[in-house]
Amino acid sequence: MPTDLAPPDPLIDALVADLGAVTPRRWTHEAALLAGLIMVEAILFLSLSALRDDMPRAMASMAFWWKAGSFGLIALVAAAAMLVSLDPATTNARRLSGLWRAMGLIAPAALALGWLIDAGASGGTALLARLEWREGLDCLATVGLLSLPPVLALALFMRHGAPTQPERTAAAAGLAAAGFGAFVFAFHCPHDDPLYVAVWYGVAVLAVTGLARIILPRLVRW
Amino acid sequence: MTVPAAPARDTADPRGWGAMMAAAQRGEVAPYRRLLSELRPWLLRYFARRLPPSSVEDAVQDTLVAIHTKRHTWQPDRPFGPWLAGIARYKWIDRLRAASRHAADELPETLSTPDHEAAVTSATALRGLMATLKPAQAEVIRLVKLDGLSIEDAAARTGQSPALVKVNIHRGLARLARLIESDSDAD
Repeated sequence: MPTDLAPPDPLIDALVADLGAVTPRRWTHEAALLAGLIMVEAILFLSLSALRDDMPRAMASMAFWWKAGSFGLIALVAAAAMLVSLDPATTNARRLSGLWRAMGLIAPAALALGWLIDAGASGGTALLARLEWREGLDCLATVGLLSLPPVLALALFMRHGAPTQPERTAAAAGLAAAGFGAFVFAFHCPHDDPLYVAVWYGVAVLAVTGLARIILPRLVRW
Repeated sequence: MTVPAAPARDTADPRGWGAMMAAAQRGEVAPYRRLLSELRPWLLRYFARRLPPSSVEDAVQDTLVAIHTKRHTWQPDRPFGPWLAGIARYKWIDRLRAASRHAADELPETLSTPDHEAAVTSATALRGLMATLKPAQAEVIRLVKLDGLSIEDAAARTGQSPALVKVNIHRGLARLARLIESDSDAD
């Protein structure tokens, strides 16, 4: 290698002069931080606004587990895809494309499952009444609020990392944050009606994902 | 150098870049200087194959800076090549995107002057990919970007209106950028 013969290069000089020791980024580290944050958020939120009263009954109902499980799963897959996508070496790797695909499949699958549970339940009341829009809007706002801490944390990770497909990474960050928000909220919200959950939680998740998709890439240009 | 003998997929670190980067992450100046001066010609070759000559140097410098600011995102137990390629590719797509953003509106003023860089930026990369575009898009991109015709001339020659020529150039270039981005093994 003719490195010794290379002409002096001001840019390389500047970069070398700026060199300091760095700690290699570890996505497992970030995942642990995120898990800690979600736990703190859950404890804070549930101690401030209380678990749902009928928790024991809910624990026995399929709809509750569908609700909590779906959003928890969405959050985990999206967060994994997001964290993995911050490494330039893996943004196009096969395991990542598997995660993107899983992300796209889980939401429709969750909705379909909800519909099945719904079909099994007594569907007597009118659809509009089941939506209970006053409480619905409340749910929407609270899920949005609960997804703020994780989305901020993920934005910081994104800034620290090197996303080579910023839009995708940002959308995954939003989806993960909203999923965590909905997951935590599921333990407070007494509504298990799949229609209600699909509409109000769904709107909240889409809104947070969309906003993150638009805003985050601007904050992390590199 | 204390680099684990890469038990991962890549068997070796043939050029020693991984070892140099690992040392750089610990703050060692000499290996870092050597690494950057070896990366420079590699990047020059990489972008020379993908961008017109006038924007190669800028792309190389951008990428060197990106490698510097994001050096902590390389994990020492992973091969260095894919990480480097990921960053270079990101910077390449960045340039194509910028070119497609400016292509349509800035072109008329910079017609036949020797300085229509942004317009031609994507020319080199385009050739192989042109076949994947709609014929109307490919044709005006070829006429305006590669042959250097004005929007009006291209319009006259193709029978498309000038506005449509611009739209087709813009859409075609944007589509190319997307194609490259979704293509999972560009180098």
